[in-house]
This record gives sequence, structure tokens and C-alpha cells, in this order.
Amino acid sequence: MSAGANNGPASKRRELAIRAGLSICVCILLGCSGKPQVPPPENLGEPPLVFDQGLSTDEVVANVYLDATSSMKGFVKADQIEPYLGTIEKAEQVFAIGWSKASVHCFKFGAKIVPLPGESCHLYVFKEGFYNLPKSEDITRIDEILEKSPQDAKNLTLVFTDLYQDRADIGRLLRAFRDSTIPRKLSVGIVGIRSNFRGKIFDIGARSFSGEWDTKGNRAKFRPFYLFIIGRRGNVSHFMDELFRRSKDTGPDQAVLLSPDVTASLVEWSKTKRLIEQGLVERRSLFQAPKSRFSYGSLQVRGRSTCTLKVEADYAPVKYAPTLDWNHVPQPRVQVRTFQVTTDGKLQGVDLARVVDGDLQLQNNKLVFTLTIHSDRWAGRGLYAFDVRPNLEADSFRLPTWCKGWSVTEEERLGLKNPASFDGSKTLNLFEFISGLWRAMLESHKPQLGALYLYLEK
Amino acid sequence: MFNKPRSSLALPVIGVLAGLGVGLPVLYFLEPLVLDPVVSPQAGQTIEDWLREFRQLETLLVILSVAVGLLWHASTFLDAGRSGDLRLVWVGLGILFLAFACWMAVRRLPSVQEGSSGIMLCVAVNALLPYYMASAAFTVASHKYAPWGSRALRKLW
Amino acid sequence: MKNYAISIGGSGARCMEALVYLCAAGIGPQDQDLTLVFVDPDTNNGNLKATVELVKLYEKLQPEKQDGYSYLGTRVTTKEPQIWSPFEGPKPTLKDFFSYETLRASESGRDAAYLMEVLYTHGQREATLDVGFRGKPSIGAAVFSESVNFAQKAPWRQLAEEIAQAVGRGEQANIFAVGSVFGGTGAAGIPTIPRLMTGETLARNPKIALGCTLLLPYFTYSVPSGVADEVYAHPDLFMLNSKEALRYYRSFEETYNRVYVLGAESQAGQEWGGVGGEKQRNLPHFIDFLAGLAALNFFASANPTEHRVCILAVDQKNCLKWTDIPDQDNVHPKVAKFARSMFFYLKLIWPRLLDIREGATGVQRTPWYVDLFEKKKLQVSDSKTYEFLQDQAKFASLSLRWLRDMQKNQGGFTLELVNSLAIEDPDDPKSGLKESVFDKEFMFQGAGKAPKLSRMWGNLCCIADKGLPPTIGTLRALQVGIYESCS
Repeated sequence: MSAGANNGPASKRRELAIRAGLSICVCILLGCSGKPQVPPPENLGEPPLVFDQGLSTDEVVANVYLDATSSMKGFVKADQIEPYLGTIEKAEQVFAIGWSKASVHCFKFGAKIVPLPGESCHLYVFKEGFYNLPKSEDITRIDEILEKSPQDAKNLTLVFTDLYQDRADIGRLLRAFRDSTIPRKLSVGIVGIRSNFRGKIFDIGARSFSGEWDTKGNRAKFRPFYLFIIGRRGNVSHFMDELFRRSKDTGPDQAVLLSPDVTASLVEWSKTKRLIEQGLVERRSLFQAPKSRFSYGSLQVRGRSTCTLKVEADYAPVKYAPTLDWNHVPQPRVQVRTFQVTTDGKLQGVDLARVVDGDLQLQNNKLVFTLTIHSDRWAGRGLYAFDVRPNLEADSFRLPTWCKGWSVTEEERLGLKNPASFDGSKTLNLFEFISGLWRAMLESHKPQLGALYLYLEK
Repeated sequence: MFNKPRSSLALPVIGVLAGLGVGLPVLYFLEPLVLDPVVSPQAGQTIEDWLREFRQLETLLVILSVAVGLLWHASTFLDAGRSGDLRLVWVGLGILFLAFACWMAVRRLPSVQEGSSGIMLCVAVNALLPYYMASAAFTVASHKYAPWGSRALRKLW
Repeated sequence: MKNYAISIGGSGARCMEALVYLCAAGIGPQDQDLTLVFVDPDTNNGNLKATVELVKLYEKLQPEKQDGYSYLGTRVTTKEPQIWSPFEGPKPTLKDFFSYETLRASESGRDAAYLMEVLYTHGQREATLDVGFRGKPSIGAAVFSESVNFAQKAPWRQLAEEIAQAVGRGEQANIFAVGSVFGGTGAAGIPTIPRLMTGETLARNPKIALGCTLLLPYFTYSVPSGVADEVYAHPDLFMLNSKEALRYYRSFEETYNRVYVLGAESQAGQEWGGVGGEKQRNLPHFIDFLAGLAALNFFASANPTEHRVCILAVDQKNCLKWTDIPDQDNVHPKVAKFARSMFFYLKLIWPRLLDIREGATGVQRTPWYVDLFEKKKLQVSDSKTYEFLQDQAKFASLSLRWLRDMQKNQGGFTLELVNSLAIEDPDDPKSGLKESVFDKEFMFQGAGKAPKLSRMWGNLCCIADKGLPPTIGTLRALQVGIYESCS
């Protein structure tokens, strides 16, 4: 190549321009391919689950268990066997109409379970001899039902009983629930109904007196009986809906559904509405998107001393389930676990307690999460992962008032000197039983409202 | 009415190409670099989505800006240039379109928490730069010095 | 090739004026020299002075070197003295010229004196000849014979040397004379001068072509009663004089290679301008224009071996249109373009330059000014630049007046050369130059598709934008740009 023609200043400028252009292209390409990798949200800890989707099945097999112990006789001896008889009848109607395909099997039980032919269970309750169980069998053994009832998704177990249980019975019953029902992730619906009664009430007072209780049509004196509905949440909830539609004698304010889930739909990032993002910018391109079935937010922290993230999520409590008692949700209401994402895509726990403050409020039936990030106290740079969850305990939930209102404690019973002063419109240890069952469910399933996964770039 | 040689008809075409050739790359490559670090969209909107909406609206504005440049060219073709250079028309078109662009941006762009001034600066650039490129360097000879800075610009070649 | 045009007398000067405008229009010999010589004892003749001033203006405006552009494409030069008169002192008379008193007093000269008495009346001998030969060719012939000395007198000596050098190099020299045969100076000079040129220093050279235009009567005037002088050109005698002159010229057929004869049966009336002097200023006539074309025709096709006479006819009696003009396809468009460019200059360009000079307008409104002047670091306020542009305005004004006056000076003719309504007053661009008339049909019978004035402005801006060859200067670039804008 000859010197001279190509070495002028114009050609040097051209060469410089070509080099600069190539460098820019290389940088852009490198920039595009250089996004860091992050582990998926599942790696941040146990992800929240919904145990039961809450959908009813098309077909149901109903096993109706009628308490035939002598304490139940009073319901059918009254001048009017209502609403006890009517409730059983309505239950049968629910199965006939509420599902496209339903079969009903009737049983009577005391200490043992005895199948009854036909599907019209209500016809048995006022038959002569229905309640004439041998003394050895005149014990209400609901636990036997729990252990022996079928486990299919389409099975629904109904137990009509007055729940005549002392403390020992309660303990055994709770154990049975704990061993049979709870592990199967089944839900337990409890409907309380007060009915006419004329008969004996046993084990009154410290000396276990028995006494007559005659409601004489006085609703204030109606004695409660209970309908347990055990099965998949969807079927239980559907049964309760249909029953309440047909029955004037009971309703949602006399029912509770104890379920493995406390929310019908988990809170997650993609379902939230972002209210405030001060000092934060949502950005999709911070990292290579990990494969995950959970949604997450990716945010960039901008240069401010304090950044605030406030998001709102729908609060979808399970129908008929115990409600959140906001005054009993412990502080901090939100638990924030923080990790740093290392250069090789691994998670390293990091303490950012001084940096991050979380809060949760329930406003207008919406869960409002607030995260305050004090950037001026946050020295680190890089990519971080946050797991933000509501901090719930069993005491955070409140059972319906009727659970306590219809209950009489063992102490109150033992303290009665006069049997005549016993209030037959209440049930012994009702509240202990229901709250014990609920606590057992919470402890076993540890249900959660959901989790917010966040990746932040500082 | 038609006071210019027919060969002058090529100028508006080249002006359009120049306007688009400068305006669109600035919009697609340069402005994201400027806006990304300064704009904070409203809660719930990612910066990528905001930039995409911004680009969509501003692409339309760039095209309209070039169209306003064509209006300028049309006025220069209709006018002989004897009594004046239509500089007021050029300035007026620019100002009117800038006002329109700002109004459109305020009405149509998603609101932001931060970065409004940067956004409006980019809107102004998108409104004026293509118009300027389409007009300043490619106005027909009888009005070629009407656009501000055209004399200095034309010294470059 | 060398070209020489000799104007003899006042009519010759008017034809020379037309020749100058035709050269400005680009019809003259391109990239060639044309030397003009004015012969007239009446050095103060109005037409002559005007033409000489026009030539000076042309010389100032023409480019230093020919550059191939049509406008002012012929290089026009003059010799010193620009106007040659056979007389040197004031108030010459025939008597003094031939030293009549001395001859009469001497023995040897007395016969010559007596001959003079026979040939010339007392009044003719005593008449002052600084106003011309008073319509007496006989006076002029005698004077010219005695005075034209190619070997001694300027400009004839320089002419002779120049022609000798040119033919020595193998170039052809074309010499063309123009004058009237019905007056005094022209009638005397036309046969005399070439005879003297060929009979003396320059022998008949095969490289020298001689041509002339003989102007027959084409105008007349009324002599007011009470004119004191007896000796003057009587218009009644024009026809008779012409007849006699032609008969005489027939014997000189061999002198000129080509003779153009021009005249008009219907004669235009002129005002009496006196016997001679400044007041003798006749209006331009289309015969002058045709005479100018004749000269250019000669320069373009002169042949030293031929001898022929050229005459011109019109299609319709007493009506002259562009279709009657020789070489119309070449002449008409160029004259039209020239006229349009002069109009354009006066109507739009010159007023704008004045505005810029006074600061009444911003230069960005005048792109061609920025491109042609400012970029070359020239300002209209510079004295030399302003003077040049002012001269251009003057030249444009003169040319448009010439066209207007020629159109109006129809005599009994119907002329369709130029629409004079457009150029009523070239010095008043606002109301004297009518754009609406100009845009419609300025030069009659169309001369190709002519752009309107506004289009010409746009054209000039485009031409200035594209730029002209760097070899031509700014002022020449403006001239060329204006001229080419009119296409």
C-alpha cells in the first residue's frame, strides 16, 4: 500500500469514526447479553400454598350420620319436631338439587355406626326405637365417624348431633380430627341450629344431675343441635350455601367453616395494585427472568434517602371462615426476609432490619402492604431479594360470636348447685371444642395470606 | 403560483428523509438513555412500559413534525420570496407545533412521579428537531435563509 | 477574427447604439473583439454622444475576459480618440480647411480656388462644419479625402497596424461601415473611407472583408420657418440625394464585399433638432435595429471574395413583426431574454440592492445576495461595487428606453416588437415598470416560454445557490445569474 493517498487527515478521521462505531456496537451487544441471573422466588423460602382450591365437585356421595344417643330424643318428643326434622329434610333436598349427581347414605350412630337403608334419613329420626341404644352404645362417638368415613374428594360427611361432650370427650374428638381430618386437608363446616326440645338433659352440675328441658315452643329456650359437614372445602361451602338458602332457622351467623386455607386467593405481586412507589422504579430488565410460578416485582432504587412502596391486594377470606381480628395481629404485622443475590446467582441472607420497615393494614377490605426503605442506611450495592409476608397467628382470627354465646364451660356446669338453673339452650364446651379444632388446623396447616416477592437493585 | 424550478421538488423529499433520519434515531436510541435514569413512572407502571408508550406517541409527533416541515415547504413554493422570506411563518409553524406537542404530551403521556422536565425537553426536541432538519437545510433557494441558523448550517457543506 | 464597425454620422451612431445592445444580448460575435470607430465632424451630436456614453458604459460592465456567457458576450473596444473628426480646430469651415484664401492669393493655387468657387457656393464655403457637413456629401467627400491618413492620424494608424498584424497572423479582418446616404457625413464617408483604406496602407488583402449598410431615408422632420442657416439637410431632398448617391455608389460595387441597403417607405417623423450639435437627437428607429443586425450578419458570415447587395422585405406592407426579422429564431429569443433581464434588474434587483444598502431590509430575505455577495465578502455599500451596480442600472434603463422609443417611433409602420406599456418609465420600478403586462406578453409572438417575474426571482436564487464557476467574479456572476434567470 502506497503511502500518501490514504494517510491524510480525512482518512484518519474516517478510521477513528469506524473504530468508535464498532466499539459502541460491541458495548451494546455485551450490555445486552450481560444481565445477571437470579434464583426464582421459590428459593427464598417455603412458598405459600392454597391447599384446597375451594371448588365443588360435580358428583357428591353424602354420608349422613344421625346421632341416636338418648340426649337426642328430646328433639323428636317435642310438640313440633322443628326445626330438627326440617333441617335433616332440607339437607337431603340440598343433595337432591345442589349437585348434578348425588347419592345419600344414612347412618345412625352412638358408640357404633349402623347403616340405615334408603336415602330419606329424616324418616328415621322420629321412629320408635331409633334412640333405644344399649347403654354401652349410648355414647356419642363422632371420632368413630371421622376415622371410618371415606376419603374421596366427592365424599361429604354430615353429622347431626347435639355435641354432648365433656372435656375428655372433647379431647378425644379433637385428637380424632387431628389424626384423620386435618392431615387429609379436609374442611369442617359447623352449623348451629336451635330446635324444639322436650326431654332430659344429663350431667348437670358437679353431681351430674339430669333435668327436664321443655322448650314449649319458646325460641329463647330452643336447644341447639349441630350439623358437622366434613369434606373438601368447595363441597362444604356449597352445601352451606344451599342449606342457608332453604332454611329459615339457621344462617351464616350461626355457622363457621374451619378450613386449611384462610384465603380463597393468595396475595401475590401480580395481583396487587401499586399505590405508591416513591424512590423506586419498576423495571423488567434488571436481570434474566427466572422460571417461576410465582410473580415478583423487580424494582430499582433511585437516589432518595427514603423510598416507599405501598401496594394493595384483595383480601379474600374463605367464606364462613373465622375473620382476621386486626387488633390481634401481632406487630410487626409483616415479616420481611432479605437476601443478596451473589454474582453467581446464589442467595445470601443479609440483615436489613435497620433498612427496611414493613407494615400491613386492612383498609376497605383490602390488604395494604407498606415497605419503607431507608436508602441512606443501606450501604450495599447490587441485587437483593425480599420475601414479604403477613405475620399471622391463631389469635389473629376471631370465631363467630355464637360459638361462645351458645357455649357453657365445664366450670359453669360444675358450679351449678340447682339443676333447674341449667340453661338447656347452650352446649357444654362448645367454644372449647371449636376453638381447639381451629387452633389445631392452624398449627397443622400454617395457612398464609400470601407473599410478596421483590427483587431490588440498589 | 409555482415559482420554483421543478428540480426544487426534490428538496422537500430530501428534507422529509432528513427529518425522519435524525428524529427517529434520536427518539429510539438517544432519548431512552436520557429518560431512563430520570423518569419515575407512576406506581404500577414499569419504566419499559412507560418508555414504550412515550415512543409510540413521540413517533407520531416526529412524523407530524416532518409534516409541518412539508407545510413550510409548501408555503415557500407558493410564495415567490420577493417581498419577504416568510421567516415569521417558519417561526410561527414551529411555535404552534411545539405548543401542540406539549399539549399532546400532557394529555396523552402517562403521568410520572419524577422526570417531567426531562420528558418535556425530549418532547420539545421531538417536535422541533425533525422540523428543523426538514426545513433549515433543505428549504428552496428563494427562502433558504429564513430558518434560524440556516446560514451557519449551510456553511457546513 | 477581428471585427471593426465604423459609424459615420448621426444615423450611423444610432445604428451603432443598436449594435451595442445587440452585442449585450449575446447576438454579437461571441468571445471575439469588436472595435467601434465613430466618425463625425459634429462631435457634439446628441445621438453620437449618447452612443459613445453607452459604449463607455458597456466597456465598464463587460467582463475582463470573455467567459462564454451570452450577456455582454462580445468584447467591445474603442480607440483613442473615440470620436474622430476630420477637423482639429474650433469652428472649421471648408474655406479654412482647404486654405481657400491662401490658394486664391497664390499663383499656383488660384485655379484650385476658382474650382472651389464653382463647386461650392459662398455659403457652403463659409459654413462652419463642426455641426457636420450640413447634408452636403460633396463637402464631406472633399474633407474626408484630405484628412483620412492611415499612415499618420489616430485612430487610423492604430487600426491599420492592428489589421496588418491580424492578417499577418492569418486572421480575417471584417470592417463594416454604416451611415446614411441621404445626409452629409454618412453619404460622404461611406464611399470615401474604405476607398482610402484600400487605396493606401492596406492593399486589397484577401483576408480583409469590407461591408457596409447604406441607410436610405426612413425618417423625416419639419424644418421650422425662420431657420437662419441656409446650409442644412433638407428632408425634401433626402430622396433625391439618395438617388444620386446610389447612382454614384454603383460605381463602387467592387469596393465592398457586401452592401446592406435599408430604408422605409413610410418615414417616421422626428423633431427638428437644429442643424447639428447636442439638440440633434433623433429617436431610435427599427431601421437602426435592422442595421445593427446587418452588421452582425456581416461579422458572422463575411466573405472577402464575394460582392453582393442585401435587401430586406416584410410580409405585410408597412408592418414589421418578429417573423420579418432576419435570423428570427436566434435574434428574437436573445433580444427578449435581454429585455426581460434588464426589466428584472430594474424592477426587483436594483431596488432590493438599494434597500440592503440603506439597511431597510435584512439580507436573509435576499438569498442570492448572501450567496453572491456576502459569501465573497462583498457589500453593496462598497463604493466600487455600488458604482458598478449603478452603471448596470443605468445600462438597463437605457436599453429599455431604447426598446420603448423604438416601438413608439413607428412612423407609418405597424410595429410588433415589444409591448411598450410594460416599460413606460424604466426609472420608476413601482409604477413605471408594469409587471402584469410584462408577465403576459412582453416581447410579442412569444419568444419561447418565458418565466414570469416571480419565477425569475426564484431562478436567480437557485442559480446563486448552485453557484457559478469560481473563475467569474461576483458582479459578473450577478449579471450572468440575472440573465440566465430569464430562461
